[in-house]
Amino acid sequence: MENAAEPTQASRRALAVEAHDVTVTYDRLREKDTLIALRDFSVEIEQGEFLAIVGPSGCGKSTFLNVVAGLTFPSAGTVEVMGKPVTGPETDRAVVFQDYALLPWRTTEQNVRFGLELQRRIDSETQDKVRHYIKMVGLEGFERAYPRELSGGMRQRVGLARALVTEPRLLLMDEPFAAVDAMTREVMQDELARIVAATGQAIIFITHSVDEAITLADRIAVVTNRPGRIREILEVGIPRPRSRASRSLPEFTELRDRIWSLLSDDPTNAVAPLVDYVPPSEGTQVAEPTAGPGEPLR
Amino acid sequence: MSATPTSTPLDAGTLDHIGPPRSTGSWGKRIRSRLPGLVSLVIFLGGWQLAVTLTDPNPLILPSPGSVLDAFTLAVEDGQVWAAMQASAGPLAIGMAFSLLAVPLGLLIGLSPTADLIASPYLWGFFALPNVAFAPLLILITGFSTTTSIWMVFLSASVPLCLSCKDGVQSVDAVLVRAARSFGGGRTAVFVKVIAPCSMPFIASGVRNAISRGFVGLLSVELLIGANGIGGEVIQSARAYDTARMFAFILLLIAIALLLVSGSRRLEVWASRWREEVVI
Repeated sequence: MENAAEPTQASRRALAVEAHDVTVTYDRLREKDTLIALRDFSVEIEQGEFLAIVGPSGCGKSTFLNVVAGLTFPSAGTVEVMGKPVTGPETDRAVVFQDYALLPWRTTEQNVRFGLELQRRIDSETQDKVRHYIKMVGLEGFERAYPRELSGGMRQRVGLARALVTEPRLLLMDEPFAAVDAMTREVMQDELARIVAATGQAIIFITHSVDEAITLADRIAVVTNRPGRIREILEVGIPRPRSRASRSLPEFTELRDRIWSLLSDDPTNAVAPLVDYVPPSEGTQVAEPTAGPGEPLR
Repeated sequence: MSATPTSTPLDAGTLDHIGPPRSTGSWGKRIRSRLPGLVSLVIFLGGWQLAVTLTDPNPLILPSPGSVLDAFTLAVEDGQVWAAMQASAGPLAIGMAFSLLAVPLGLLIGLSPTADLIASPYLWGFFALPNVAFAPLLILITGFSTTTSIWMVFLSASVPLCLSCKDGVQSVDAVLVRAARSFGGGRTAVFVKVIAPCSMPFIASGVRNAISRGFVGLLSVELLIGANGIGGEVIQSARAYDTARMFAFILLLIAIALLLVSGSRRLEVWASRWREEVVI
């Protein structure tokens, strides 16, 4: 149970996600125009890889997550998950939502079961599985609590357990810690790092916190605004486990500056400085971006 | 991590007391909580008696509380109260039972924007119409019979019920629906597991509204045609200039209405017990 479903021989070679030139447009009725949420979005994610997508609000990063989840359909381009084209939600994927999306009339235990119920996967082992993942996210003793009785961080633990219990090969996380307070956020990041080290699925993690992305991810896709497109994909070479101390490593600060210069160099210039941005000290020079805008790198 | 979440609203030790404090229901406490209501009732009756003693009005206009009580006891002993209550209860129960059909209908209308656009103007129009206004038309169609009362209850109760079920579906949090869909939930599963439970508080408050609207609808017919029910007794007493008896039946109406409202309030609290904002 510690490992996500064992990959079959055929899908072992397949990438977890393969997105090619994905474009998503919305027809806006009131404005009588078409909004391009994503343009030519291409990215590949290996099995078991942790990809963070960083970008300003409204840059379309959540749209991409919805496309991979099978909740939104692209107007152009192709998306494959585990080697199969996305036609809708599948049991090999699970989503963790920013605002938890827990059913307020269900207890922790019943909320964690929810995904399995919808996937019609309730059997004699369900109870043990539910217990196991509740324990894994550190909510032992709160099985019978309702969401309103839990703090924000604990609610997101329920959301995480609900996704993990379906044992997905790909976990989609849509700004999962954006709604919890800063201290809880740190704890949750450590927790998530520990859990994914144990379960080993591929993850797409949407965030607008640069530090969060560097702390957690194997690679970081930097997305710029309207239409959302990938500026650059960066490798995070910092050894794990990464702790609070890793944030003062030169590699960390260098990467942070690099991402910030990519974001603030946004041609549409729609980036407001985010709260956790610490301006570089006089000595360290901000690296100038070398790639041209809109050049998807892999 | 060993269970140390950074912000914990409850300790593991207090787990058997999760939720709002249960009422421990000692009689002394319950009576004390009702005390203001009882005192105001006594003051009201005292003021009524005082006004009658001081001004000595014509008993045709304002009878004393004592004579109202006498008239009521007499009507109880005659069996008239019981008969009137039975005569009113039948059409009310049948009409209400039929109006429960508005629950699935309202839920379906809420699911489809097109159905909403088609049905809403009629529902709201009918909702805004005072039921005494269409009572004469109804009497014209169905005649002076129990059928009239049943139709009246049905029409008065089903429309607000339908509207609040529709509102219930439309107020379901879209994020919850998205979550259910992300786990592969189809239309039926999303409806059964998310939309219907989410609409429960609205359905219950719709039922509460429907009961009071249905009761008012029933009375408007009884008062208009002087049928056998409680409303009929009121109007017959007034025609016989038996004001004390009329007051007795009006007070009976008020008592029944209060019972119905408090009973359905309990239903509403039960159905929405998972909502944080409900004050019990």
